Amino acid sequence: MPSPDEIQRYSALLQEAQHIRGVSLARDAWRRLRRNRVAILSLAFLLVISILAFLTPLLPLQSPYIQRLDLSFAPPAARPLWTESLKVDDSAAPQAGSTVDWINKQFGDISTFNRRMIELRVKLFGRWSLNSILGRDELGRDLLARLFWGARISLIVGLVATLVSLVIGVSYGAIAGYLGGRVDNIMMRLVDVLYSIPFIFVVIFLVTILGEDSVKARLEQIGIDRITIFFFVVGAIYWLTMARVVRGQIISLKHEQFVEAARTVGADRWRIIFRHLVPNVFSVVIVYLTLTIPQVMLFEAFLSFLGLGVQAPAVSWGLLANQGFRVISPLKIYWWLFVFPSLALGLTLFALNFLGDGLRDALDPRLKNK
Amino acid sequence: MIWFLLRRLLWMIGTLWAVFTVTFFLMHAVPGGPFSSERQPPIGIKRAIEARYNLDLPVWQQYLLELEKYLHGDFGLSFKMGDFSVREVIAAGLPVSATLGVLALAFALTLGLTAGIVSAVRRGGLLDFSLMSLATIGIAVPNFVVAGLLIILFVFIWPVFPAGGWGTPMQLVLPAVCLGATFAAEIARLVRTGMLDVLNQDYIRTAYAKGLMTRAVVLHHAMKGAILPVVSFLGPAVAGILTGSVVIEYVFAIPGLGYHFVQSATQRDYTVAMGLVMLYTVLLYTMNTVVDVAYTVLDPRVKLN
Amino acid sequence: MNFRGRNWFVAALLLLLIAATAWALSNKPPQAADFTFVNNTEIRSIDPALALGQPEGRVIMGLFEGLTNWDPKDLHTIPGVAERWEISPDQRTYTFHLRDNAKWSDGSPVVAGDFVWQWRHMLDPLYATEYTYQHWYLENGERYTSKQFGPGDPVEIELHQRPDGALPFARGKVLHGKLIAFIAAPAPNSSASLPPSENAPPQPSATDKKDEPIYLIEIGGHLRAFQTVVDRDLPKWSLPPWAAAAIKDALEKSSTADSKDKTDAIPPAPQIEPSKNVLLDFSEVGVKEIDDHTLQIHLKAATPYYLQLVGFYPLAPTNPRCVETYGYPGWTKPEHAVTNGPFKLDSRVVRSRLRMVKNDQYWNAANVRLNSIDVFPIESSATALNMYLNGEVDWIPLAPNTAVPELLAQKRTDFKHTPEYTTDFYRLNCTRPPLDNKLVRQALAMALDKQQIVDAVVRGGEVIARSCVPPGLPGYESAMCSEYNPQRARELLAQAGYPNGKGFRKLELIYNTDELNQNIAEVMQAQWKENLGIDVGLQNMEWNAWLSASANMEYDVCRGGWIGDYLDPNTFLDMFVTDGGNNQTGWSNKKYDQLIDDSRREGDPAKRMKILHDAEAILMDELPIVPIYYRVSRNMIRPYVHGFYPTLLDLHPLDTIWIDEAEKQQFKDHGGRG
Repeated sequence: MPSPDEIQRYSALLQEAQHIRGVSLARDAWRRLRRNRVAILSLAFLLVISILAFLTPLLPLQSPYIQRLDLSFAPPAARPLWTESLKVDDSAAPQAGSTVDWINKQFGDISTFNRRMIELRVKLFGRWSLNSILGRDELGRDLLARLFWGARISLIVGLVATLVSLVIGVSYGAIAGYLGGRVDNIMMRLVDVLYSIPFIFVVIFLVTILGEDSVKARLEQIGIDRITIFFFVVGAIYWLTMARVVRGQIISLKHEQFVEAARTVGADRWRIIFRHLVPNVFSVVIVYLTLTIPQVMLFEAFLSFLGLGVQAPAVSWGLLANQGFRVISPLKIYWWLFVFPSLALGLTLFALNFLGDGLRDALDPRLKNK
Repeated sequence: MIWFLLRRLLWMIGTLWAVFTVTFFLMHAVPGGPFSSERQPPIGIKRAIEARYNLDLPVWQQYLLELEKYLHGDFGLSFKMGDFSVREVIAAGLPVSATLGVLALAFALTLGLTAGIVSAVRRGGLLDFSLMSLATIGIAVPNFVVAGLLIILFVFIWPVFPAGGWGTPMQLVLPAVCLGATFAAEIARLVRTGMLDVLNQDYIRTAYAKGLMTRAVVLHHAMKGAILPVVSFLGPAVAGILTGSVVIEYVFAIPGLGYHFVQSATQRDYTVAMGLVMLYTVLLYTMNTVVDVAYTVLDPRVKLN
Repeated sequence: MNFRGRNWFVAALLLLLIAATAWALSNKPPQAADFTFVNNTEIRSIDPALALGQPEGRVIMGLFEGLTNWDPKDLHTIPGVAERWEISPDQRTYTFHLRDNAKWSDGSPVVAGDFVWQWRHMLDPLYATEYTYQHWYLENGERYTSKQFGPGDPVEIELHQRPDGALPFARGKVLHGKLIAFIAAPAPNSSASLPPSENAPPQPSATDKKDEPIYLIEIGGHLRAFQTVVDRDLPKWSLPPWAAAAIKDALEKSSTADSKDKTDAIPPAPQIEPSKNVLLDFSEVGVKEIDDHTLQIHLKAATPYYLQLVGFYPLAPTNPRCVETYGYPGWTKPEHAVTNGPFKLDSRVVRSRLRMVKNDQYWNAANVRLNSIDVFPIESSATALNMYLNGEVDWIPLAPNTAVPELLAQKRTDFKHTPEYTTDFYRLNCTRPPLDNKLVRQALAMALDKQQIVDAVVRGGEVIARSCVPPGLPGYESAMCSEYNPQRARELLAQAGYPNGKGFRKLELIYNTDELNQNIAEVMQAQWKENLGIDVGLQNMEWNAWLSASANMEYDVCRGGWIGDYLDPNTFLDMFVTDGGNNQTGWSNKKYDQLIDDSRREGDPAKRMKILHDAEAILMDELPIVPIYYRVSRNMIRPYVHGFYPTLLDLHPLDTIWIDEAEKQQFKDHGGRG
């Protein structure tokens, strides 16, 4: 018969045990992440940027496409803060007046969804918009508006392309790394071959072929436009490094004890790969991910350099940074064209990186329950 | 080890052949050829010019002829810079890119390793934060922005460095720094991650428990494990640097391979493009082999299979 | 842990680092040259025959000298290698007298034979280049290149073997004879042979996979047969199976045609020999070496600008002995190259630096005041500008467009902003409706506010263009198209059947990737939308893809332009003849072709200019191209550089340039930049 002391001790233990819940990795990670202030700030920043980018047509901004050649290279101006920039000049084309035409004129060919947002914006803010507080470019276009519209393209390109590369790369690398032997050899040789093909040819080739009238028409029927192709092209280039890194990590990890344990319990190889090994490489993958998104966005800037990136009238941060860079000379530095896009890119990627760091710390399974 | 290297060599030859074939057909499938010029010669002459370079033959025949020449070590003349053979272009450009690359890498490794280690050891502190922020700037901004910034500062405002060109030591500094900055940042982050992973291991705690000082722990025990991800990254990094950062070489007017690479692609300089692709493949392959060997050397758990 | 392994690794890396740094620092750059300038790209070759454009021109004009030179101030013709010349009354025969003291850089004299050799080489279809057609002004020049000859014509046969004792890269042995018959190969799938044709052999078509034809030629009284075989196929060449029967047929036909006496035996069929080429005999072509110092030229038709043309850099001579000793590209290496111009090639690093030094053998060396010139092939105009402003180079030919407004605003005296003989225009594809309608084209042209484009986009002080030929040439008045008139443009469009742009399909405008082109295209897009209500899509293309699309007419509206090669309207106007290689619009007008042809025959300069004006008037009425603006040069050159003059063709001979050392030193003392 247990003594009253023992009973008390055991019941206290029991109570304590009931309070300890099995914590899933995700919840544990989130708890840890919350404590990392910088990471949370970054997350918040990214969320804000994403929301703003999404809601851009709703914001009281000028048109990113309309040129004001008389205001070419205008420096940033905060006074007056608001302008009637969307006011329609009725003397111009014969069929002025209806909202549809006016929107087309200001914003080019846009989707119905964006169009609705712009109509809503007009209801909220009228035809007033913020003045060019960030200055204007060579053709007198408002930089602020271009930065916002550019954000949409840049963020989507970064996200989608990276996800494509993630899915392909991680699966490929994990399988190759775990299976080892001949399969690994063949898979990695394939990666080497693909890696050695200069990406620039591939991109020029794809972009040109896909720009052919007949091909373009057929693709547009399915709803794939140039930008979508772009995502997949870029994504297809970056999965290689991801695969390699993951493979390296898996190779290091597959000799760990927990793998032995899982095998002893009877888990088949796919379960081992995807349920046990992959989560453990997560921290490296996440860090690599936050290195890839910037690379993708910077690659997009590089393509714009060659004229193969986003096409006018669309605009992206890479394109804007490029434009800013090209006007650097000792004669006169149009600093706003250079600084603001770089700042936008920089801050976003900054945030991505800090978030990545935070996630890495948060997701480390060895820190569980700390 | 010997067998391993021999097998790798065979694979390399196979890869080279595959790359040669794919690149060749890719290049010929894209519109425009090396003789596209704004000045269109009359049709008879155009055909004569094309015949001289075998461009009038069906593509598969051109392929075989080209393959045969390559097996004899003849890479042909550049189409766009006709006075130079592809070998001469490579011979001129490779040392330039290599030097620039090595300097950039040295800068990147030094800065990256130091920053990464310090960050990892002083994790969570102010030093960690500021170093990582600086590192992040390196990868958060396009390298031409870094270049632009440094040019404004050190060429225009304080005229310390020349604006471009190649030859003097002063002309090496800015390009190497701009090129290395990106990699320094990545290395710093990888080192930090790797170090943190290692520092949490049991044997590290044992070392601390034994009473070893931080520096001893870090340098002797943790370093090796932390270097692994960097070594894994070095492979693609070096290959990428070796073919040169195209943007940097363009901005600073440096006659390196990366610049030749892009020019030959956009100008359809078939011969130079092919030569560079082959070179790139060889280098990459070699780097990978070195990395794999290094992995074994540094981590005895990994076997060469 | 493998301690040693790790140490080796680190040691290896350190070693690599030290080696690389040592290598980089060991390359001592040569001492700065007297004069340094930026060229916009690495040139294709120093060989004049392979010149493509102005970058090559700048170097070639320094290294080589043609029959005539161009005065640095206004580019009028002055003596070059030829010190004087006579022109026949019908203006078709030129006799050039070469100066006695014209020498190559190796000391040998420049002789008439050198010119003949080089021009034949350029006309040879095996070596033809982009500028070969400039020699087609010579009598039979085009026939030589295009192999237009028939039975009865004198021919020359080049064999594969070189004559004994010939230089390693000399021409193969050449036989001369008379063509008796030309036997075309049968079509690939037929075994029968074609009868010999009496006319000139047909041009080989692009898809011609037939065998080469067989030539029956009489040489020194004997009948021989030749088939052209390309070098690469020679080892596997064998007698074509259809040949024997074909030759027998040809001989029968030819002997039945000739002989009246039926007892003449048919000559035995000759063995077919492989030849490298069979061409019209070069003696038929209108360039002849009378003696070492006299060169006579016969032109197909009177060409008033011919004297200027022979000073054009692609027509300069090269040293035959040098080329035949080292071959191409061996002879272009600095240690082998022999040149006859004011400078010779000293050293060259691809895409880095090309150095020329003074040629002491040059006949006018006494007046050449530069000892060395450095050429930097830098593609980025922004970098070039920075190098200039930093005092690293003395001259840049092309300041970046974005910098021009600032340069003009700062009123910099070193910025030379002078008109060029260049027009920027957009081609309209006349084979694609609705652009095949003249009214539509006129409407498009009239709806463009070119002044806005120039003022707000290009902003280099360019002049808007309403003609194809730029102004500035004395004696010629350009024909103009209509001014900007959006109202009238709308009327024309309505007249064409598209009131307010309704029903007008979306056009696609293509241009090669460039900031400026993009900006111009966007403004044009906006203007056409605004003024005519039509939609235009923009497509930027990489350079080669764009050239291809332009040449193959795969576009609606395409950016284009033309830089005049020599100072005569013909350089612009002869582009647009029917099927001209540089036409690329599908436009064809018989009257225009006729006028251009007439202009070639007209001897009186004033009348000729009038004919050209009339032709341009047709062009500006039909508007297969929409001219936008004439370019202005963007040279930036330091004040201590003298002897540099702005010219219409933006060509600047290097031999008259000199540096005021005192001025330069002063400049350096004051910081050397800015």
